[in-house]
Amino acid sequence: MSLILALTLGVAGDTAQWRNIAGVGGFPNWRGFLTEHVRRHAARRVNHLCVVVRADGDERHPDAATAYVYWPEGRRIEILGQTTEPALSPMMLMQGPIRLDRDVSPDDRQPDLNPRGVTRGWVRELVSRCKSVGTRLTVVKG
Amino acid sequence: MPDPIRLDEVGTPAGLRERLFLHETLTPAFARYDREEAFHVMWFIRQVLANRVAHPRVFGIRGTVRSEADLMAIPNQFPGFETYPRLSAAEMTNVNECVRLANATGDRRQSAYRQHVQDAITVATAPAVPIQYSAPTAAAWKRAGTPSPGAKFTLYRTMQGNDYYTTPMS
Repeated sequence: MSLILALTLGVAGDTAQWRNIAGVGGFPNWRGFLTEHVRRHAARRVNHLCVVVRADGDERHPDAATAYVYWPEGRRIEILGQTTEPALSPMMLMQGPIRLDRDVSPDDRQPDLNPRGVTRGWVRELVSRCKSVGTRLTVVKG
Repeated sequence: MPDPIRLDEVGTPAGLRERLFLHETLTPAFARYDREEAFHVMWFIRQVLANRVAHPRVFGIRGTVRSEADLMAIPNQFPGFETYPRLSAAEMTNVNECVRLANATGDRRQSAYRQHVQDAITVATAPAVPIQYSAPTAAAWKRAGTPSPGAKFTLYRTMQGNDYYTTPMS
């Protein structure tokens, strides 16, 4: 019964995994870092970011988490890892962004060998979680 | 003072693997970096490359694939490496930074980065995969928490924030 309920609820059961970055360690001065990063790389003057953290710890790293930075004007989702260093650096942008115009498929019916590949549904879910528990950040260039 | 550590030339098979491993593996700057896991990840990726060359049809790859370099040109399989052997400095930021720190005498981080870069070279140039890292059906990897590559793929392990998958090779 509980399995059926979990399947019916789908990602709703995932709620506890999503956090606001303010309550998660390992992202020192994330606001300053992202502001500088966006100013350096943005094509548009005004950029509306949304930052949300997903707790994705495992047996070896139970407190691990990853920050997802939805950046619609940049057509990407940046992925930011926790650091042990005193400051974040571009090295903490994990393995390149999810590019909204190249890495998003309509559904999961086709095999997707792209390590950054996601589905539209996954992006919708991320944006929804970000709106509910994430932090918005507006970065103006120049 | 140890000799400088260098990657193989970018256009060689070992040079390609080394850069791909360093690009796709967490560096010691990450809180969840774990040397043993990172080493395991590199071996897994090496086997993914070999399997995609040996069994391109399994992966839906059309045309002839003669080498790992040929795989790079296939869209959306190895982001950042599509233009190989030309690799953009922006995409190679982490790779270049790893090598720089591995040679940064006096930097407290040098030892960890030197080990990390050496691991990439070791895995790229070893004649065979050690039995403890053997995954004969290694097929793909995805960011943990993102959709699986497809129905025919089975989760092998989650390591260093990525999910690693196998698939039947026939």
